[in-house]
Amino acid sequence: MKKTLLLCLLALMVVGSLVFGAGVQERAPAKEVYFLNFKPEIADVYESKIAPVFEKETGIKLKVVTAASGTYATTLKSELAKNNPPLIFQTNGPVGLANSRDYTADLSGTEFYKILSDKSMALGEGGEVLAIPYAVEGYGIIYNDAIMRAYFALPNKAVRINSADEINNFALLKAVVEDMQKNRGVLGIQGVFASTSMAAGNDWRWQTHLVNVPLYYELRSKGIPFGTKTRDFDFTYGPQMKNIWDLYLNNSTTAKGLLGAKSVDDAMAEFALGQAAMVQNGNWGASQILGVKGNKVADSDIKFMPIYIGAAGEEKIGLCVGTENYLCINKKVSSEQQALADQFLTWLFSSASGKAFVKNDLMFITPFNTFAENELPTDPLAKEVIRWMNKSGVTSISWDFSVIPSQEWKTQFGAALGDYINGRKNWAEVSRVATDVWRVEFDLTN
Amino acid sequence: MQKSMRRYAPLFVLPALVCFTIAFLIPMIAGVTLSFFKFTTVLDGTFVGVENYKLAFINNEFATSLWFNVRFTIISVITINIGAFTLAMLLTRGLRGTNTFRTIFFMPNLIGGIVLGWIWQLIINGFLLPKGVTIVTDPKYGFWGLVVLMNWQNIGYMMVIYIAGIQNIPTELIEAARIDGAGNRTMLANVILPSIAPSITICTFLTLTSGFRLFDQNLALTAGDPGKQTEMLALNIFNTFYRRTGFEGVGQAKAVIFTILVALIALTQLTISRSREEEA
Repeated sequence: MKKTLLLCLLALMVVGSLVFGAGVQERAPAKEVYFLNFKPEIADVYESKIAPVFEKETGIKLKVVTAASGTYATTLKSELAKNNPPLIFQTNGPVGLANSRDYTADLSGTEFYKILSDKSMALGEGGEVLAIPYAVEGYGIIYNDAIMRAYFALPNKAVRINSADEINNFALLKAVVEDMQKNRGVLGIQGVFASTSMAAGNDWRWQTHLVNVPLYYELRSKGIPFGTKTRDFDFTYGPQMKNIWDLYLNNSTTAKGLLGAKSVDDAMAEFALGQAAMVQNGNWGASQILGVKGNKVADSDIKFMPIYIGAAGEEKIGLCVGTENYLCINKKVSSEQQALADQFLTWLFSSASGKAFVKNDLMFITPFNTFAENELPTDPLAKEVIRWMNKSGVTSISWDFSVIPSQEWKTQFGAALGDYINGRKNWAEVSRVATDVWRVEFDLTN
Repeated sequence: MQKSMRRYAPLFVLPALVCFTIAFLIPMIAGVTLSFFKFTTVLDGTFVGVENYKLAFINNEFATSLWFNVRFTIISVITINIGAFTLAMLLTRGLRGTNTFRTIFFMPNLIGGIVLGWIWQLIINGFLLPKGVTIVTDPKYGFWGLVVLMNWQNIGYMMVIYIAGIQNIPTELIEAARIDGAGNRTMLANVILPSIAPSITICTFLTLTSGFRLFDQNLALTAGDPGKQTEMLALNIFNTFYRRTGFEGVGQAKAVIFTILVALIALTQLTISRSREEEA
């Protein structure tokens, strides 16, 4: 009797420790779509607005997890390994897709693929459609037209032009910016450009977005078409990048030594509060301007201009327009779950209530044929992107940064830019990092 | 009784063994195995031999963080132990409020590393602001910031160990030395220090290993910035594993090297303290 009791107790302990060791297993409810969201700035829209409506209309639960800024790859990696992995996740282009290749299902038969207007925008491999873009975005230099008007009304202005619209090359931009910086007291700003944010995880505006401009010019002048990987990056337009980089740094709200602690949020807040007249960012930043408490910029004054770096013929270029937002459906889940994922995405981008969220809350410019003209987003920056895309005689710069060989290149290039700010590297050394690391990383990843 | 003990021994060992296997042995073996694989998620990968170990040294990044870490550890081992010992001496003299001070000095140890990192980042940036720089402007600020943080967090803990050591010195010994005419300096060098030798060994090796394993403080204070110049081993491994796609195996290989390094230090400590115990 005692022996049996003892054995029972021991068995219980073993089972107990096993359960403890293995952790409590998560169990998915029968009908749930798990979406791993990439964009922290709109996480709240998914959770508090879209999920309840979707559940009400279809009876399917929507679980949205958002990775913190800069940690998407990390989060995706660990979430995919779980028992209840995400059904829908995001990839940023060919390079990102290669990393999650084992987990991306063929989407060619889905409803979601059918509503994509330009099928060539989807990413695929060997006849399979693997990732579908859901938002076209554009970036450039955002400016506050009220401050610009105030400047052009100054009696002692040093330039001949009379509005920000007339700026169409680097020389003009530089003349305007430097004169504005001189008159910053009169204009009531702390600097022309908002902080060149270099805090950890906040340098993507430079090591990805800004460098895209010289990269675009170089690839086109070499005759390399968009989306083709290349082993050699010569940074031919490096001196031009230095032009704009110095302009950003020397005419800023913030002293160079303090930039290492500045985040993108700081920069956007400076712009929203009217402390800066310009900031380099994209239309996704609209919510960061409009949502800042004490925002002093009127919607109608938020305008875009292209990034001018001093390249020949840049009068004819527009904003940098493209996408690095593609959605994939997890291959390693059941086909019922894949169907649920498809149902959610199709609902979001084609049903009346879904489209309303996309237009008003997510503020995406979508590539789907389900959106009519009057259903495009109405926030000021999205409208500006659409205006620039349709402007005659102007070509948009494509997002060639998708061929950057690895995240590591961006990290090292960003660090080199930081060293340049603090005087530990000169521009020649920055260029060397750009070209050498490119080759190393290309060889490692191909 | 003896007999039944022997008969049931395996049964009694079983629960602990199961836990040990699940929580330590299996992850350990899996970790070492994975360092020879190229993988994205830990359950499927392809065997690549020692490729990961070669890639770990492809640039001098790992070596740089090792060197940074070594310099940091040497400095902080010295400063922490001197600081802790000094405090212990002050707080064993029967001054008023001794217990309050002991508690205060021990408290930083109870705060998590991430929180400490953020607090000190604010403090240090506040001090550097008039100079127009921040902690990530120059790696030397980050280095000394980390040393200060590490000291602040660890001195209290080591102090407690030293206090225990000092209080264990027999009063007869101290009285005899005084009667023999030993001055303060002689007391310190010939009575106190030799008597607390075991505490010194423990504290030195504790600070040594924690210096090498420092992670959250590093992440919160500088995150390795500027560039990767204030990145220590643990953070470097983390960044290789999580921030560099395709380099998961390399991160794993670095972790194996790291484990061997820390294990060597710990083994040295064990050997030294064992031989001391035998002497005593």
